[in-house]
Amino acid sequence: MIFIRKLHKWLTLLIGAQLIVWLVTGTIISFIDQVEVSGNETRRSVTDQESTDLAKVLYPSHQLSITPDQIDSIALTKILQRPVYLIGQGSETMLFDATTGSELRIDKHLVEAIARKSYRGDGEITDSELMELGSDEVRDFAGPIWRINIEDDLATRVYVSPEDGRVLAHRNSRWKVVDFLLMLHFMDYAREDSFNNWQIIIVGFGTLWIAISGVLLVLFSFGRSDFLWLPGFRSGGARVSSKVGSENNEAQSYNLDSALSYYSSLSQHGVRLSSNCDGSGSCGLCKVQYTSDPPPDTAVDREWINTSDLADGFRLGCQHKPCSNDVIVIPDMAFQQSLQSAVVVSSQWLTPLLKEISIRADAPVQFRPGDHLEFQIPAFDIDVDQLAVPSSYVNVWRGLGLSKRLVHAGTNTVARTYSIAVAPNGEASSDLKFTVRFAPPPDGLEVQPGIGSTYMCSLQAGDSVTFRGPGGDFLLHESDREKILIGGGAGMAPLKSMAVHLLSNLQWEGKLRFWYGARNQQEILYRDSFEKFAADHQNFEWQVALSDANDDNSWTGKRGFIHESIFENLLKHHESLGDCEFYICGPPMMLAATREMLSKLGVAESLIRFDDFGN
Amino acid sequence: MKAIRLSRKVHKWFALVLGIQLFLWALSGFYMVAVDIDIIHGDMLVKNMDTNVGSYAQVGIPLERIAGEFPDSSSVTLTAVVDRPAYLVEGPTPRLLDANSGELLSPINKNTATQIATYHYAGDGEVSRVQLIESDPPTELQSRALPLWRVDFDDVWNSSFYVDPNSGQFTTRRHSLWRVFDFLWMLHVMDYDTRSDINNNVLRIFSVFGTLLGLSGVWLLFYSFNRRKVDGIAK
Repeated sequence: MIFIRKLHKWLTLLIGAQLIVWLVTGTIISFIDQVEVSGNETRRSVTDQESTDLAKVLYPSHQLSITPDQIDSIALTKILQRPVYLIGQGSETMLFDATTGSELRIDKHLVEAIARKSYRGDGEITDSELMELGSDEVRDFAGPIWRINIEDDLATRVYVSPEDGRVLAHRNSRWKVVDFLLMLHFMDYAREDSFNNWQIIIVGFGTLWIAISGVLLVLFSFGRSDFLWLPGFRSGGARVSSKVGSENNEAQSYNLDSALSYYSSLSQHGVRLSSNCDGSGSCGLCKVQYTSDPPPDTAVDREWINTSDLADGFRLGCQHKPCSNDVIVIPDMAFQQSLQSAVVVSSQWLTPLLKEISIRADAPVQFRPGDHLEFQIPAFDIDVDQLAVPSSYVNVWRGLGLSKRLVHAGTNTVARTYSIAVAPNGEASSDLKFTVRFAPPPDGLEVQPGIGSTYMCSLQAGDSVTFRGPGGDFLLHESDREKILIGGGAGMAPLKSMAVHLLSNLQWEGKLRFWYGARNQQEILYRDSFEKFAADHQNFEWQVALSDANDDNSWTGKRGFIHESIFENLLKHHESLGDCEFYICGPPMMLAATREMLSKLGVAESLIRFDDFGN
Repeated sequence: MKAIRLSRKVHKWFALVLGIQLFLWALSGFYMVAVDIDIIHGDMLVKNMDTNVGSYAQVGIPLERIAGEFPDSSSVTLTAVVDRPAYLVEGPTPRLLDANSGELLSPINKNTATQIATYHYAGDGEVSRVQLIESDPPTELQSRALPLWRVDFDDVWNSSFYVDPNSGQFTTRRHSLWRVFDFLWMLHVMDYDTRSDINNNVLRIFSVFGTLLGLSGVWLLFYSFNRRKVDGIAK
C-alpha cells in the first residue's frame, strides 16, 4: 500500500502538470461548440446537382492541348456550373474548360467566386491572397494555397486549392482556439497533427499507472467509518451473540455488531482490547483466542502471531467479525473499566529522541516482567518547548522540521501501550519507569508526530496520568534454557525488566545474554547499569552493536545491525541453538529482520517471543 | 494542519465518484496514443490503393461520351475496378461503367465485390463471409450511406472490407484494433450513443469535476512534499 501511495505521489509530481493540462484543455474543448469549430454552420456544397447539363456541347477530350497518352487521370467535373476537365499528369494537375477546350487558370476572381458559393453566412469577402508557402491552418495540404477572408463574427476564412479550385477547408477563430488546445492535449508541439508522438506515449504510460494506483488507493482508503453519515450505515449490521471471557472473567454472551470487527464491536460494550493502531492491523496487540473453530487466518494475523499460536486459535481482534456461537477468550485487561491514576515523578531525555518517564501509581501495580500499561492519551495542544529538549540535542530536533505546536485535536481519548522498564519489586510496586521514543513524522506523509509519544514526552514531574493494565503476552518462559534477549532502541524497556528480574530478583543461574542495537554510543540506554551487571554476574553477557558509528573511533565494540551482529558473532557458531529461548523487542524493521534471521536458522517458533512497541 | 486533511478528503471523495472515469480516460488515452494511427486505419491490411489505369489513350470510350448518356450526373471520373478501367458517374445514384465496352457494371454483384476486396487485401486470411448490408448497419460504419458489401476475412485482425455496390469503390476497412479504438474513443468522449458528440453534458460535468479532482491532487501534492519547517525548538 505504501508503495502504491509512493508511486501515485511521485508519478504525479513528475507528470502532474500534463495531467492538469489534459483535464483543463479537455474541459474547455467539451464546452466549445464543435459545429461552430467545423465552420459547417456557414458552409455549403459547391457542387450543384441540377443547374448545368454536363452533356451539353462538350469539347472532345482527345483534342485538348494535352494528348491522351500524356493523361494519367481524367475527370469531368464542374467549377461553379462550368464543366471542366480535371486532368492529372504525373504530380501535375491541369484544368480545361470542357466547352471550349481552353486551359483554365484558377485566379483571384475565380477563387473568390468559389469561396462565395461555399459560404452561406452573412459576412462579406474582405480580401484574398495566394499563400505561396501554404497555411499552417491547413497542414495536410502542401504547397501554395488560396486564403479568402470573410468578415463575420468568427472571422471565417475559406481555403481553396490553386490546382483544381477545390474548397479545402473553412477555418475560423473558434477553430484556432481548439487547434491550439488540441496541440496541448496531444502534446503535438511539432505540429505534426499526430497524437502518436513519443512524449505523449511516455507521459500517457505514466498516467496509466497514476490511474491504476489511484483506483487501488480509492479501494483501500475507504472504510466503514467514511460512510457513517449514511442513514443505513449507522445502525450497523445484524446482531450476533458471542461468548466472551478472560482468565478472571467468566464468559458471558454479548450481542455484537456483525458488520464490525471484534475490536470495534466489543468496544461498543465497554470491552476494550489493547491497540496502538486503533484497530487497523498494524500493532498486533488486540489478540483474542477462539476456543474452537477459529476463522481462517489472514495475512495480518500471520504477521503478528506465530504458527503454534495460530493453531491454538489466536487471531487479531481487528481482523475478524463476530459470528454467532463464537466463544473467545481475551486478556483480563480488556474488561478493566476503571482507570488507575499515577503522578509523574520525573522525566529525562536519555538520548536525543528517547525519554525516560518515571511515575508513581496511586495504588501498587502487580505485574510480570515484559508487561505493559495502556496509557490514556487525551486531546492536547503542546508547544514544542514543553518537551524540554536539552540544548545539546537541539540540532537533532531542528532537523525534524516540526511545527511549533503539536496538536491532537480528536474528541476521543485514545490508548497507547508502553512496556514497563523496571523489574517487579516484591508483590506489587508503585514506582514504574517507561522509555518512550519520540516518533517524528515518517517522510512527510503525516504532518503530526505520533500522538502517544508526543504526549508521553511532554509529561513533566507533577503531571497526572491515567492508565489501564498491566497486561501483555511478552513473558518469560519458566525454564532452565539459555535466554537470549535481542533489543533495539526503546525496545529496551521490557527486556530490561526481564534481565533485572532474572538476575536480581530470582538470582537465576542459567545463561542470559542481552544483545542490544543502537545507532551510536549516545543512544545506548542504561549502559552503565548493564556493564555493571555483566561484571557482577558470570552468567550474564551484555553486547552492543552500533549501526551508525562509522566515524566514531572511540567505539571498540561491535558494529552493524544487531540481527547481523548476533548472527555473525554468536548464533552462527552456537552449539545448542535448539535449546535457546529468544525474546525480541525493537522497532518494526529490526523486529522483522531479527525474526527472519531466526527463522532461517531454523529456530522453533515456540522458542521465540517478541513485542513490537508500536509506532 | 487542517488544510492537509481537507485536501486529502476532497481528493479521496472526488476520486471515489470520478475515479473510474479518470481511469478510463487514462486507459483509452494511452491506447490511442500508443497504437499508431496508421495501424488503427489498417494501412497494413491494404494494397493497390493507387488508381492506375495506364494511359487514357488506351481507354476505349472517351469520357465525354459517357457524360452525354447521363445528363443528370455531376461528375464523371476515370477509375478502375480491380485492374480494368471504368467510369464512375456521380449523380443522384452513382453508376459504374466499363470504360472499354460502356457496359453498366453497377450495382456490382457478390463476386465482383469479393474480387474488389481481395484485390485490395494485403493480409493472409481467406474470405470468410460476404454480405450485402442494406439496413441496420453495424456501428462501425458510422454514418456511411448504405447499401454496402461487407467482405470478412478470417485473419487475426477480423478484418472487414466494405465495398460500395453502386460505385464499386472500396469504401473503408475495419479490424479489431480499429474497433477497440472506436470503443475506447466512446469511453473517452462519454458519448455512448453516437460516439461523436464531444459537447455532451455528461462529458462536460465529468470534465469539470475531473479537473477539480486533479487540482485537489496538486493541492495535496503540495503538502505531501512541503513539510513545514519551523525554527526555534527549545532554545
